[in-house]
Amino acid sequence: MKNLVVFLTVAFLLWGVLAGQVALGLTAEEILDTMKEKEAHFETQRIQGKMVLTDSKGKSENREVVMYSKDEGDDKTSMIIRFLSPAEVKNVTLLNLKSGEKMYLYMPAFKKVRLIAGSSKKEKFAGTSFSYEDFGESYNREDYESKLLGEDNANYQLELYPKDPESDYAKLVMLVDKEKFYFKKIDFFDKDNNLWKTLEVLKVEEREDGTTRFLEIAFSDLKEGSKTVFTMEKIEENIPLAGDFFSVRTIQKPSL
Amino acid sequence: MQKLIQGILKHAWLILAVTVLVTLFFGYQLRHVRFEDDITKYVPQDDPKVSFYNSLSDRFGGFQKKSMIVALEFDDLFTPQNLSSLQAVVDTVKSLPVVQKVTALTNMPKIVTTEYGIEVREVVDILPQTEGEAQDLRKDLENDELIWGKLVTQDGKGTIVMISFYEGVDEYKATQEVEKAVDAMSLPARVTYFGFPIVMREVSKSARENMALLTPLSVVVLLVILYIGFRSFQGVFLPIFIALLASLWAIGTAASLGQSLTVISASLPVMLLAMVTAYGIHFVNRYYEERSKSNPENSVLALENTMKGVFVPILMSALTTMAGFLSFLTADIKPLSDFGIYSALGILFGLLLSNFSLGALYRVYSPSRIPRHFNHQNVESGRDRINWFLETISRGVLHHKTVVVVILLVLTVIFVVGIPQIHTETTVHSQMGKDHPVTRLLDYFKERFGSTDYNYLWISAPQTRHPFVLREMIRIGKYLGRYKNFKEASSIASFFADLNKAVEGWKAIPASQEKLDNLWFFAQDNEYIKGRISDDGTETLVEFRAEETKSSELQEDLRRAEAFLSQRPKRVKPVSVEEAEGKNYLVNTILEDLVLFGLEVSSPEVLRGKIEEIVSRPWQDFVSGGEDFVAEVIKDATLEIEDLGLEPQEVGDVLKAAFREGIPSGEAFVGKLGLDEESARYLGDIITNSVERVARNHKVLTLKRAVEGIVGKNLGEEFDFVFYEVLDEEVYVPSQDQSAFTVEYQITGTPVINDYVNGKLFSNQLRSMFLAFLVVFGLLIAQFRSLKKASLGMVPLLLTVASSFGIMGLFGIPLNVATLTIASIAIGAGVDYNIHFLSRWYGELRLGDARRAVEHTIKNTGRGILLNALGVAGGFYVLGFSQIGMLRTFGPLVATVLLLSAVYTLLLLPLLLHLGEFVRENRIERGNHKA
Repeated sequence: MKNLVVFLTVAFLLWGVLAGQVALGLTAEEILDTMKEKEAHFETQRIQGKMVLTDSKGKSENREVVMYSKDEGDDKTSMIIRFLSPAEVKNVTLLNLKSGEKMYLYMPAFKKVRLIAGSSKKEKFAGTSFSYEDFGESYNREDYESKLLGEDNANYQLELYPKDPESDYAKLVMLVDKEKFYFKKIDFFDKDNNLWKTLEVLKVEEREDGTTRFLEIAFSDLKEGSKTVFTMEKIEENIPLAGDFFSVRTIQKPSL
Repeated sequence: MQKLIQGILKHAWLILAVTVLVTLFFGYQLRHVRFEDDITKYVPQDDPKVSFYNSLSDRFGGFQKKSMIVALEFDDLFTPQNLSSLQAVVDTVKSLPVVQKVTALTNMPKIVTTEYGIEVREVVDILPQTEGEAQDLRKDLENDELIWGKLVTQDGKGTIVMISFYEGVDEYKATQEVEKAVDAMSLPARVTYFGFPIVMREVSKSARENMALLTPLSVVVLLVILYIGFRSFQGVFLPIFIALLASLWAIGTAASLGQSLTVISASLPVMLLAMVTAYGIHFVNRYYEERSKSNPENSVLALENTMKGVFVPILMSALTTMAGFLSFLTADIKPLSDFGIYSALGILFGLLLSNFSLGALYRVYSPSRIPRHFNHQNVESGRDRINWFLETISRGVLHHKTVVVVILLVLTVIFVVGIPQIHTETTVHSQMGKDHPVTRLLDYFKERFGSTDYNYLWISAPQTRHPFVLREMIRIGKYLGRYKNFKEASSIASFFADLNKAVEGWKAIPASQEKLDNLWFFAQDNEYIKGRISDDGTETLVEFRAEETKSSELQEDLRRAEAFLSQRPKRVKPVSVEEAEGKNYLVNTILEDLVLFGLEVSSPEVLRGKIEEIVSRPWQDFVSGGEDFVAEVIKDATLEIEDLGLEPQEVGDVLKAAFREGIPSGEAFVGKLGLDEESARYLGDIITNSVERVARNHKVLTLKRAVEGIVGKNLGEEFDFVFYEVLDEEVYVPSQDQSAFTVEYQITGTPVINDYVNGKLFSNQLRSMFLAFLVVFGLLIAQFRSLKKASLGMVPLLLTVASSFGIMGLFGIPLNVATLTIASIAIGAGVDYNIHFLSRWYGELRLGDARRAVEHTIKNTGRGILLNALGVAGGFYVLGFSQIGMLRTFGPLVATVLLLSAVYTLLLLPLLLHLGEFVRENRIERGNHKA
């Protein structure tokens, strides 16, 4: 009798654990939601960093940039990106308002700001492997249909389908860290389902609040054979910025 | 010799078996025969000009070495559906693994100017969705010189897609892949393909069709003529068969070694047929002669005597001819040296086949009867026309020397007079003829898209995106554009000028490196631009359309281009315009550029004075507070004004007041328009910059209007480049300083390289030909052991070669890679005729007097020579019906040269030989008479 009770208790506990495991399995959308929660959130941010652009022949070029960004709500971000070096791009400054609604480029030699039209979002940004569109992208359920392809001890693998019909990509395959819920790598596939680009997170920082921050990312264009590695050397968050900081006026100033 | 002959007779079956086996082997190898003619591979790959040309495809993606073109002709290109079809073609071709780059209308850089924005996009980004948008695009592109007339036809119906392949791909296969992919698309357009493999394919196909039709015809004519001569199947069939076998063995050797045929070596079968037939004819001729002299049962003896009689002459003839061809080994041009080797091999095979195999055949199979007409022992009893003709020649040489000399002199003078009129021409028109499909293909592209060939100006500098370099590119392009081989220059400079127009309103190159760097920011990712500048920015290309011209015109254009480049400054240093040297240089530059851009200047001093006056005035002189000036300033600053939430009108009013009151624009807005001080100063800075920009524009416009006033006409946008220079604050003047900014130029391109290689080909051919003459002369000396005899043998040979060039000059047959081999054929045939004639002559001389020697040599050996010349010539005249222009002239040319060779051998040689004997005999007779 005693043995039967012990047996039933153990069986019940085991069942509970197993059932719990089944209940704990996440869907792709839930994974995306969790990733969003785990993202470092900030009102404003200033990043000083370095870009290393490597072309198909292995020749590389370094550029130093400073970036300001602001969360405008509704998943939209405004950004100012100013090149600090090399000399030929010094002080060329890009203003991206609300994730590409309007984009401006300041050309210091001409002392002039020019509007860049919205359809240029797919253009490569300043010789890097990123497009303007890639810069402001966030991967969430609102913008993507998603499917869980599989998982192992360390990672989830998701497949994402852009809802935007004008997207250049047919699908994305994303590798998500199971513990910290950040994407380690994204493979971008073109309309013929050929692998086109990859975005890889090379270095992350876990913050005290459990959110993660990227410190180094690499974006590769396999068709062109080019790669851009962006290293964030100094990050400041929630810095005070004037209400009209993200404006045509600001990007014309000699110092931001 | 006797042992060899006995050996042949004893092992006849074995020899025949080996002949059959070797024939089967080489016949099997023929399936590997390829026709491939990349002229850049003609010279050693370390040739500086060719290796430079080849290296450009490594450094520049836009350099079209391995490439093809797809032309699409729609009813109207500018409809949404047809533009989408074009984009579909681009996407399909781009996805092929062999394709490195695709340039088409849809991915050309398009500089789009909006109210206060610009961008550089690819045309595909703005593919129209409606008919209206499509027509707007058309109107826009009609002004784009990178696109209209180049990528799009003038009538807007056709467009081309230019495809570059990776360096390592097989161009032929890559072309087929593209054709297959595009053909599968069912496009609403007529599709035409163009590229080197396609041209070669058409040429090969055409050559095969022609040869398939004309070769049997040629052979039939040859057979008929030989039959008239021999009246015997063997006499007809065997010599040709030997020649064809020798040809097959030679080409089979090339094929088994993996060598491809070029246009030079493609004449090999022709040439071998011309020369090797003679060996067979001599053998058969002599065999019938010996058979006619001996008992019918003694055919083996007749065969032995035949071989004794012809073995050495054929051997010597073959060795001499081979030595002549082997002299081509000294050529730099690989196809030429290959031609020499395989020709020599072919002659060797002909020698072996005619002496060994033919001998073996007659041993195994001895004809029971010889032709009844073939009986020359009794000169009077010879009945056929050939005998009659040969008798006439013999009588002429013996009894009417003056007449013969006059005939020969007249012939020689007529032909030699043509030599100075020889011209070289390597155009497709001259090679293929105007109605050939390849010529029509080229004409189509030329008519619709300008051209299919490009020349390039390569430029090297520490930085090619430098104001001095970019401006020089525009100037050089402008100057060279007047010449057919350097039309429609396009380069990164053209693109920068277009971009500057979008930013500053002037289609010109800024003088400031910083401005150029900022403009580069827009352009750098465009494939068209990236393909025209090296990765490190130190090299760039200016691309020119090259119309197909004659070689002489190309060379003249090149000479002028080189002359122009030689006087351009190559080492420069910057000098401020504030200095007298700088100012003078700027004024001179503007004046020279006005002339360069096509302005006719009747009063240069007046113009110079005006230019100097305006150059001397600072931009501040052109600031005015007038209504129009202020309006322009406000328009220039509209983006910033609206960003501040202000109305342009109100800002304009404040600015006008500031001008009236003499307040600097930087201060004009403080305390005005409800702006705080910082915003007011910001607006002041913006307006100050705009004032400067507008004032500078006015300075340029002032110069433009002043020049227009002096010359009395309006000047278009093409002169923007010149007038904009008035804003320069520093100029680049020539300097001897070694550390100064240095530029290097070199011209290259397919037409240039083709012409260069053809020139080398000619010089190589001529050199080899002279060497062949020397070698042949040396061998004749060795054979006859007499300088006099060898010299006599050379005279008809020299005259034949000279006359063959003379004929070309008289009849306007151009010298090209194919017709140049005529000298080799003339030497080869001439050597053979001469050696046989001389051998027979000296043999007959030992048996009797000179008169008898003349008669017998002419009527016996001469018969073989005549039959060979007539037969082969007849066959080659048939090529005059060919569809291919080159064959149409080459065939009859070969035929005429062979006949000439026979004429000189039969008329001149006996004349020269007999003259000496005749004079000696006359001297003896006179001596006897006196006695």
